[in-house]
Amino acid sequence: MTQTAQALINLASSQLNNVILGKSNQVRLALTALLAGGHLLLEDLPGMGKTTLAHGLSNVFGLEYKRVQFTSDLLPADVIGATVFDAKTSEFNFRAGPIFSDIFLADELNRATPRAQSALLEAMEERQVSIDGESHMLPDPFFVIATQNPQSQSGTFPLPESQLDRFLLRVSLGYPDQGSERALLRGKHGRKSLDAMQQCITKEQLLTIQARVPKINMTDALLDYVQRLVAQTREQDLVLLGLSPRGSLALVRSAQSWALIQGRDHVLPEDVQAVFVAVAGHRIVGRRETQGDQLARQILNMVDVVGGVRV
Amino acid sequence: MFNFQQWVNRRIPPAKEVTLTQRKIFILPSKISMGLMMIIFLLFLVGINFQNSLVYIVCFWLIALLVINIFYTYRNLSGLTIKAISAESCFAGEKMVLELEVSRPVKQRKSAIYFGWQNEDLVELNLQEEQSTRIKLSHSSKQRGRFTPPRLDIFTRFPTGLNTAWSYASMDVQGIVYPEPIEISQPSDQHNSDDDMTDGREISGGTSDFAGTREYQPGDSPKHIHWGQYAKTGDLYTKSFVDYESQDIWLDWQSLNISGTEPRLSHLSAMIIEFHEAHKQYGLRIPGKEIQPSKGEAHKIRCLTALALFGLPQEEASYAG
Amino acid sequence: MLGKGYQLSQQVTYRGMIWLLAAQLVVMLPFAFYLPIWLIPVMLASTFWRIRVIKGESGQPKLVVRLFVIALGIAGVMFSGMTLLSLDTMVSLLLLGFAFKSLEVIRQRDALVVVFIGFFLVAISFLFSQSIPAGAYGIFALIILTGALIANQQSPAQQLSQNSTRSSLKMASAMLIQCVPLMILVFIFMPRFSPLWSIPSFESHAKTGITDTMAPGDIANLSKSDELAFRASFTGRKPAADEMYWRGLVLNHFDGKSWQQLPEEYDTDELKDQLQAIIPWKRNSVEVKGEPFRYEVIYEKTGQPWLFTLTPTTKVDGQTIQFGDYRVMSRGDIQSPLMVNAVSYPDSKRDLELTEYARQSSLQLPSNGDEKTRAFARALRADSSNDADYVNKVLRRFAEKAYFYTLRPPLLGDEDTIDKFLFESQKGFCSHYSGSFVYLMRAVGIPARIVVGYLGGEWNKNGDYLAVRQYDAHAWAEVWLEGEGWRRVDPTAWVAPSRVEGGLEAAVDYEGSFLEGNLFSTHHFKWLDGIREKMDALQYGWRRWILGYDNESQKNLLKSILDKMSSVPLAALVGALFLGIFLLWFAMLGLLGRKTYEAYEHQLYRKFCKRMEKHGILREPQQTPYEFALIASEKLPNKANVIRDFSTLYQQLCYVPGGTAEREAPHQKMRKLLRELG
Repeated sequence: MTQTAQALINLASSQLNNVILGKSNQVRLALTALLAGGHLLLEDLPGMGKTTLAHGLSNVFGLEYKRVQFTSDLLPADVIGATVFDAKTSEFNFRAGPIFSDIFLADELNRATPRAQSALLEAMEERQVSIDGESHMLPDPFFVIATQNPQSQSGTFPLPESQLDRFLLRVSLGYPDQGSERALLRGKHGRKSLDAMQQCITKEQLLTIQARVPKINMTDALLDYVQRLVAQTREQDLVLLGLSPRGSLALVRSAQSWALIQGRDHVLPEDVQAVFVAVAGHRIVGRRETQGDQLARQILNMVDVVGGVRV
Repeated sequence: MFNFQQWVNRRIPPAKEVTLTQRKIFILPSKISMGLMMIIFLLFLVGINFQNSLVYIVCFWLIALLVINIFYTYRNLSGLTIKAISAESCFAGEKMVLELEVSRPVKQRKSAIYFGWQNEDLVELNLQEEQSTRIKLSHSSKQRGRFTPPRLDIFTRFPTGLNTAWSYASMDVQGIVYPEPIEISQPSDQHNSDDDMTDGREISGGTSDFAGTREYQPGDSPKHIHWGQYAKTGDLYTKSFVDYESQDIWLDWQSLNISGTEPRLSHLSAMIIEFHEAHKQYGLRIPGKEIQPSKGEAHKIRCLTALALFGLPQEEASYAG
Repeated sequence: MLGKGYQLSQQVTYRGMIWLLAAQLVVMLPFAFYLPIWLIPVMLASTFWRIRVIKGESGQPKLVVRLFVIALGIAGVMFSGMTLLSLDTMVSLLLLGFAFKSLEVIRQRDALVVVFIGFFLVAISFLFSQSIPAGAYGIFALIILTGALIANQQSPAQQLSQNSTRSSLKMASAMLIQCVPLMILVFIFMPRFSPLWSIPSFESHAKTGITDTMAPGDIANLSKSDELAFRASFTGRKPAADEMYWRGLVLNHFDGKSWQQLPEEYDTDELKDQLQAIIPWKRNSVEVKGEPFRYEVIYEKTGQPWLFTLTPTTKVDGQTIQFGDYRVMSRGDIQSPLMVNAVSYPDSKRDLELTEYARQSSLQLPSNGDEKTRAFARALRADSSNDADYVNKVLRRFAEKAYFYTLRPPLLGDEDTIDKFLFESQKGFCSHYSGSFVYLMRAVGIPARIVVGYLGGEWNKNGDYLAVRQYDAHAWAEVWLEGEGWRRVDPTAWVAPSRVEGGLEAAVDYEGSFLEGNLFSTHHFKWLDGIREKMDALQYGWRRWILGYDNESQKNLLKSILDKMSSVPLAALVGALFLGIFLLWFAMLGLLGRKTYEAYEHQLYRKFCKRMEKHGILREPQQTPYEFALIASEKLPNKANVIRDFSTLYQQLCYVPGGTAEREAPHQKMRKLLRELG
């Protein structure tokens, strides 16, 4: 199984790398989030390939994919669905919203009102939707990719810290490098090749792999390192809001998922370092100018990998 | 003249993390141990007068007990590592809470260690099974600004109460004391265009205020259907509600009609709490600093911190949001 | 200094109180054997009351009630028939106070005071008994008291934890055990002083052993006891069975029925003054001859001043007095085991010249009575060639006529007891024979006197020491002969030679009266002899080395050390011993050594990083072992293999699960690789 899982994951990432050029690290992080069963926040300017990534993921895994553009007049019902009155039968029927899909892309999440945002975020957390006292289970797997614009523009509603916490990882795609851009311009790759993608992992296989993530081994020495990192994010001098316990759990889970993708049955400090910025960047609030990913990187550089206490 | 306090200050400089070592631990017999010394002396006399070896033995055993106790009491304190976790911010007049993480050496259990400030707070600590634990101590705060908790007393009498071992810890940690929130009603003649709270932007689909009825559209919540109307007319109407999402509110130092720095800061502090609790977006403008409108916990902290440090000399720039 | 503005919770907790009460009971229990028995219910009642108070079932007693109870207790002590200002009264009052103190323990400070008094009382209980069980019990009481001290310092949270009792006990025991080396050191080297003032005596201490009068039958009572009288160990020559006459006191005055020392009775101190005045010790009255016995005796507590030595004792140390009748007495009553070193020359001649007082007192007889005996004596003397021949004739009569040695003699009435014994009953034991012998001597003008003490004793298996028990008590006689001085004569030996050779048990074997009425004595059970022997040896060690350790022993010990080294190294040695104890404590308490608790592989890796630093390769904190190995091996290509191996080992130890079980071998490999790095 390990072999096949590894082969499957490799196949999936190579296909995705064909579609999104020069972003193998981000692709891997996206896979990490998906395999860890968490959600992904993409923070980027429009046109960086966020939608392509989401679409590509759904294609590779053969998952159902829906996309909603969040705007300020978007109602919660537009996302999660609503109870509809059928005048003919005089009955209320539940009509499922677009969120009832395996991969849900919430584009420009910070343009919607807080009410619409929190409707989505609640659904993400609970993996179910409650409307008028009735609960509706969301599908499994359920993977939300939300995008938001980095600069707070007038008329946007930035996500509060407590809700950002719901996203396992935050990734910026950034501008492509020269070579990739050239390839893009030549039109050899990109959107068109999306259709050429083949499903290489079934839903069942995905669920099996997801179940294996928490079983990736972590030694005491590794957890010592994780705890040192987490403790550093709570240092008062640097940070206003540190990593919450949920955040440290996210760090561990992501590292496990990353290690799995690397084809290992145990986590190395390298794995923790690979995911740390994506995990911590959006969860911590700096006291000084250094913020977000930059702050997370700074913390990463401060903490010694070696050392630990034998208990 | 030898000044003990100054000497201690030199010996125990402020630090983020302190491990109590031999040069930081002081130990003296407690007053009550004089009682035991008296008993020992009496026993010695009894031993002499009755020429009784066993009385001597008890007497000398007690002497040894007194001596070994110094070691035990010392051990109960030694190796303890105290790390400052945070000094929680608070409003002036409230208790500032200092959170510490205390951990023990692997093989030494610790019992009945007291942490405290005189006349402020005292916390007892035990580390038996667990390797480390967190304790919270509170200290009253009087003025806004940065607050460094004073030197902490750490002492223990365990195991017998015959000795007191004590040490000090100066925690290099700063808490911010925000101005005490006192809302001051402003004279209404001053027109304040920025501090515009009632004239906000309406957002349909809200839940707060009733704004009339409209025709039913699929997807409307049954809760909001105007059933009375339905009974009369047979048509479905939906009650619509609006929320007011105010446009960016500016809390502006200049526009306040309050005299004195501290009352102004107190008022602004009160307003920040009010807006924060109402989930409104607000910005802060005080001399030398402007914080763009936003909301959320971090924003509140940023604004309050700016107020707390207003007019205080160092480090101001680095706290800019 | 530590500030005072702390509101420590000073209340004694429930558990602390329980500990305190338990400790109190443990401390008070042994006193039940020595002091009025009604003290026990009083102590129990106050404990019970206090428990009710902690449980909230009854209130703290009011001051009036407390005063009333205390007054009642004091009155009780006063009316228990104890003299005011005796030690028993004081201890009783102290105990009462101790019992009542718990009633008003509310604060921790009071609890400490109770424990301190408890310590004091444990020591005081040793004034009543110093046996090994009492010592063991004392240690137990000390542990409980220390436990109570600890339990009262534990925080309430800790007290509620399940094993709080066990942990307090464990800690108390550990602490006391760790105290032992220092205690022993102080015990050995602390200077000992002579008593500072005369001490009140214990009434409750029954006087045991030989008394200062002898009526027929007295010694028979002693023969029922197998209690130890003293132990003696000899250096050099050891005495034979017929040489072990342990002289205690001399009885000179006969009133027709019983023998006593002097015509009048005196209390101990007056007696000493009196004896000092009339028969002071004169060194030159002894003509020293032959080989001496050098020996050390440890006397058991008797409450009396008599010491028992071989005659004549020429030299004796310690708190002792010698007198002209060759006896040795202790300066005070023996309240605790006393060790004495003595030298005796058994072959010496004593008092070749008799003082007038001595001649008179050793010829004293009542003016009338026992006429038959007097007549018999005169007739026998007339028949004899000289005094010595007369003595022999008397003794031969004891041996040849039908005299019996028995511990169950018939009663002789109040008058003419000598007549009745010599000519009618002819059954008796040492006091009968010695008494009548001395009477027969004095009746014809030969100075004679009775000596009371012990005969014989039991050598322990190795022959290290001689144990003399109460049943070895004996009375014999001394006659003064012209040109010979005092001669020891034991008429009993002529009646029952086995009394000398085989002890009392052999002498009365035929009638089975040995230790009669003492059914549980281990001496009845032969098969217990081995155990008894061992116990005895233990007892001897206890007496010799612990109870008997005094000024003299200290001097001897120091002398024996000083013989081998001068005083400066000795002081250094003692200092080093103290230092050693402190170091030992540091080690035992885990206060020595480094404070890092990092796992060994991390320590090794840090060493590795140090080595790399020497080569100018600095590791950034965030660099993982793998990353660093890549960088380092690139910069040090000739060591690349070692670096890679080391890093791989470290990484495996740290991060690969399952590698945790076996760490010794990888650690060794890592050390080896480190060495290769140089």
